[in-house]
Amino acid sequence: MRTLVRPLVLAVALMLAGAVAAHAAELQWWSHWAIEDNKKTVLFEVKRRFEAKNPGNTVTITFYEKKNMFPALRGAFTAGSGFPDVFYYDMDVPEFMATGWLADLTASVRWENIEPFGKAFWTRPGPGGKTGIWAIPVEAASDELYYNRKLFKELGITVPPGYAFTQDQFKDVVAKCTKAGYAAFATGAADRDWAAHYIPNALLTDKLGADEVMRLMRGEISWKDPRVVEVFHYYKELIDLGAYAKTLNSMTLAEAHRYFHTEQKACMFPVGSWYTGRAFVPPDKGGQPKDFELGMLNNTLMKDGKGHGQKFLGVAGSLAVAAKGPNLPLALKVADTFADVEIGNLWMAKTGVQTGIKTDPSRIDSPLKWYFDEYSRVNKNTKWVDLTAQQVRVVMKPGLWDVYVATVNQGLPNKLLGPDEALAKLEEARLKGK
Amino acid sequence: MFLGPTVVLYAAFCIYPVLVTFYNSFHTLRMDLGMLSEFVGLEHFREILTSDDDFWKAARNSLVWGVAAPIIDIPLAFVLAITLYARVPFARFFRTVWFTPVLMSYPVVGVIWLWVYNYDWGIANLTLRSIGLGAYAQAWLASPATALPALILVTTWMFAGFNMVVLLAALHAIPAEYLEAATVDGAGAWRRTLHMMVPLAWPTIINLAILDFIGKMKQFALVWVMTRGGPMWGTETVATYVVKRAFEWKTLDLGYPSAIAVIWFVIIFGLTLLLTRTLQRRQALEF
Repeated sequence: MRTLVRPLVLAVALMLAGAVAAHAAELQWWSHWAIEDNKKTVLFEVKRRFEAKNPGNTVTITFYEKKNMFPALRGAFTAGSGFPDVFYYDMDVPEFMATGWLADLTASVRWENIEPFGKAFWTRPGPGGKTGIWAIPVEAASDELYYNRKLFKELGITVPPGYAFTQDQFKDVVAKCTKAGYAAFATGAADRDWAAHYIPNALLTDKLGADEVMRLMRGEISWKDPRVVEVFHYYKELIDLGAYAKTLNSMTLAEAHRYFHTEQKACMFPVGSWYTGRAFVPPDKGGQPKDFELGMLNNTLMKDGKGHGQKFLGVAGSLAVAAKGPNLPLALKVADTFADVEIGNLWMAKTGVQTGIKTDPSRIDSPLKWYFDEYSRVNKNTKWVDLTAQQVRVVMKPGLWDVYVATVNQGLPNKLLGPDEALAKLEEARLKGK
Repeated sequence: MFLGPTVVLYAAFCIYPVLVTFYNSFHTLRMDLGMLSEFVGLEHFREILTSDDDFWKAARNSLVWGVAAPIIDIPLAFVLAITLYARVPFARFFRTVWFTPVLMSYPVVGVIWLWVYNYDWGIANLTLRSIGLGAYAQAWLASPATALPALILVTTWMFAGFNMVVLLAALHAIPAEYLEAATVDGAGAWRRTLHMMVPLAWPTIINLAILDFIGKMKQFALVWVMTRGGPMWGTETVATYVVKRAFEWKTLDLGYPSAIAVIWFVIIFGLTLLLTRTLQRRQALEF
């Protein structure tokens, strides 16, 4: 009897093993954040949890810089092969939603664990105008103006109680920085179309207020509106004071971080609050030095401004699933693994960046608590506007965006053209309506 | 029969894409609307030629590059070739060093030269500062006035060695008796070079110049890596503009960029034909 049972058990075991092997899948995950170890920690935790829940299936994460990843993705999707199962996604490539390349996550994710604003952000028209939810809002970020406390002290600059300078005070701040041999802003526009947009966006928002700014971006208000002209002329005064470093055009975003916190060649750094993702890692991995004193400011108060206290906030780095991937059901499970309060907590604790995943602040134990406190203090009365510097291109028509990049990200800060010339080009693009 | 596989591959990867591009140029082809195709006739061509300022900026930049590059590259390569032909010391070493850049890919070369042109610590500005010309140090890629020349210099650096090797081969192909006879007749080095070597190497020079012209008119990768067409369209080439219109404008309309590609193909083809015929005629006159 035993001699009969043993081969039978062995055969069944082999069959089962074969069946598991046959169904085991190796999922591919392409992600941005190649140089952001704290974010990687969260992604690897998601991978670990998915693999533990789905034995036999594995996930391989390949890290890129998104600047290189999106063209590769676009090529792969266009060709219909070679694309990953899940991938980093954000509003740099909004057209992916309408092409049908992204899977609709409406029925596959525990949305009760996602913040309503995050879910609403990715609820958009897809192929044929049919609405779906296209990504998990992993990262949310506001457009912030960080500053170097030590440099401010050294230059005798005192931050007002509301953390916002008036426009005259701000001009003085810029002048003090540049006179002392520092750039005012540590902006590097070499690899980002929107890097030098933060300051003008903030000034326009404060002057016009959120609703009018949105109308301006949509092309519904003239760029020759006297308020816009006033903002651009004021902004040009800052530029002429030497607000931007001469390395603006050759400096990448990653280099701009170092320029600000390690080399300390600039007083302020206008950037998304995802700053922390790169800065709050060990200094030998590109993070800010241990003794670096980081501060935060609110938007400059323009004279007769209608948008005092308003700031941009939007969903940033997210996760999408390829609609036509061979492992779609499993890929959807990877996305769903993110929809967990514990993952939200881990993200906050590790990165210091906001998230669209629900969190339980009482259970977040992080050495970055000082930063959360600073962020809460500065933004206590902030009225959030659903937009970020990166997402302006979604609101603008492509032709207007192209000119906005050329004039505001390149021309103006490099002193290649004046405010009136820039506005004339923008108005011309607006009137073309493309 | 033997040609079959090659013809099939050529048709699949060269002829077919070209035909599809021509076809698309008469349509709007919206990838975001499920590749919805709509016939628009010559509308794209009308718009490009009459109201697309960016196209004309890109065309001007490409043309400047296409014309400037052979004028700079070929004489420089000829000088290098003559230097090696004259068997200067360490000729083999120089040949290797000068030829090496062309072995590198555009992205690698682009990154190297981004470092060279860095305002703070790039070798270009460091050199100027070290010799007391710090006033001339500048952000080379930040102004349209210097960005395009800066990129042209990169391709010159990259291709000088390749052109040099081809010209060197052409010089070695000149029968030694011709030059010896000229020497006996009292022709100096300068006259031998100008009146014998240049004319005898002329067919090679023409071919290199035309190849250089075509290559620069299609320039894409280096620009994409170094400036992405900026600042202010100062280094925008037709190739980068086509890619931007095809993939960076969120409409994802492939029809319009196809029309740009068709127009540019016709222009390059026409200019190449004109250049070849003009220079060939001149060559005939030389004989």
